[in-house]
Amino acid sequence: MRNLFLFIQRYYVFFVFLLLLVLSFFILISNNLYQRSAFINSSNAVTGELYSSVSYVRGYFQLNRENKALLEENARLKSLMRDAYYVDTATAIQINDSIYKQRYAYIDAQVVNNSVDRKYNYITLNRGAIHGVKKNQGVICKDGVVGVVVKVSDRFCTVMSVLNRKTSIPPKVDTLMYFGSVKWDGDAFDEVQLTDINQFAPIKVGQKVYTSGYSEHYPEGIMIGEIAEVSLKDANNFYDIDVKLSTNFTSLRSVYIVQNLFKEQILELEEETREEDDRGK
Amino acid sequence: MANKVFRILIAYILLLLLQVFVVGKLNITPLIQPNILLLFFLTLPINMRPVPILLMGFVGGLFLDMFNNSAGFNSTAMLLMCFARIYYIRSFAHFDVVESGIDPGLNTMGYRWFILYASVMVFVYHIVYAFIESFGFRYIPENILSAVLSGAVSLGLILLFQLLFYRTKRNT
Repeated sequence: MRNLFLFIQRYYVFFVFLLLLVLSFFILISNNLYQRSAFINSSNAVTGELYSSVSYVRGYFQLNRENKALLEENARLKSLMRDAYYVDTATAIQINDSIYKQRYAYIDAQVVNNSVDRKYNYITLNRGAIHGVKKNQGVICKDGVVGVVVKVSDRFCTVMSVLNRKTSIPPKVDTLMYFGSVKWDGDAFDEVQLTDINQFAPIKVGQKVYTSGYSEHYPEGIMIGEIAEVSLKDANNFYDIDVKLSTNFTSLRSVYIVQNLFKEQILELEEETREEDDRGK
Repeated sequence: MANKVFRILIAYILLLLLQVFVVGKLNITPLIQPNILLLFFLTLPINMRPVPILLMGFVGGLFLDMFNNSAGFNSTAMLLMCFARIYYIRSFAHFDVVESGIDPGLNTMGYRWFILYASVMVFVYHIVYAFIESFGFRYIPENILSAVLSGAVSLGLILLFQLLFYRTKRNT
């Protein structure tokens, strides 16, 4: 026993080092596998406030471009409104009302911090729980997909950017749905990869890639990008496809958080089905 | 003593803010991710006890992680770098220099000693960081390239800072 104490005393620096190393590996793994660490992220009060005040100043340098982009989008949305259409029968409206229930609601948000040069990029937004943001809601901008909300505090939320190795989005190429997924390999910040697409699928350069209806985070048909390169490696049944992103992540500013109002219903239904399945066995 | 602690704290906060809002936003390529905060750990007093250095490396890295959403990445890499620093100084610094308790720097330790010391430390940090970030051994050449390139940029920034801000101290 005395020898043990002497041993520890002699190498105490190494033991302190080992202890801290275990601690930081614990933080590393618990945060990367389960995404649930309590405070080591930029949606907490201190870092969030600091980021939003710096971003407030930086925002002035982009006002011109930002205004133009918002005007364009306003014009596009105005043209979609019911006022813009000529109504020829009263019954049409009634039918519309009872058939079309609102499925998606949008919360506008501003980017207060963003990165594109890491392997796991995250975006901090100035909207949080008090504005109705919840975990796993999708985030889009006027050009296309942006990411998924992973952590929420009172006033801020952190979004896992599409430029993150954990990203996986079910795709739709032009009008065809596929079982593959859109992933990011961590190289270029304007390109993502479309994986697990069978070599017999009719894929061509220039086709547009959208989010598919299988996605639980995004509405169907949100633009992801355009196919830039298609190649087929030997002895592989799947294409290697590069997709040029339509969203410009280096100048991201105004985004929308998507609330899927039917999500609970869908998840509940799927849960029930699974339970019944289990019981059947 | 209190004055010295205060100065170390101010230096840490300034370098952290510089790293988060300027150096971290350079977006050169994903391969090059310099880190100016390393300068803080390199210039801690040479006779500092090992345990405080390890603790500072860990906590100092954790604060940077908080800003970068990279929990554990920087704290692990900086902890390992601080551990390497303890043994480097024990092996390569003269006993009387260590006794004097100066801050290691270009003009206190000499150009050759400091540049070699800084290159080894910066490379240790960046190689650990690259492997943690890729989380595995699949991308070994890419990681080494990334560590060398980021290390070179970090080293350049550190030397530039030393020349700009730490030189005046001796004159006054």
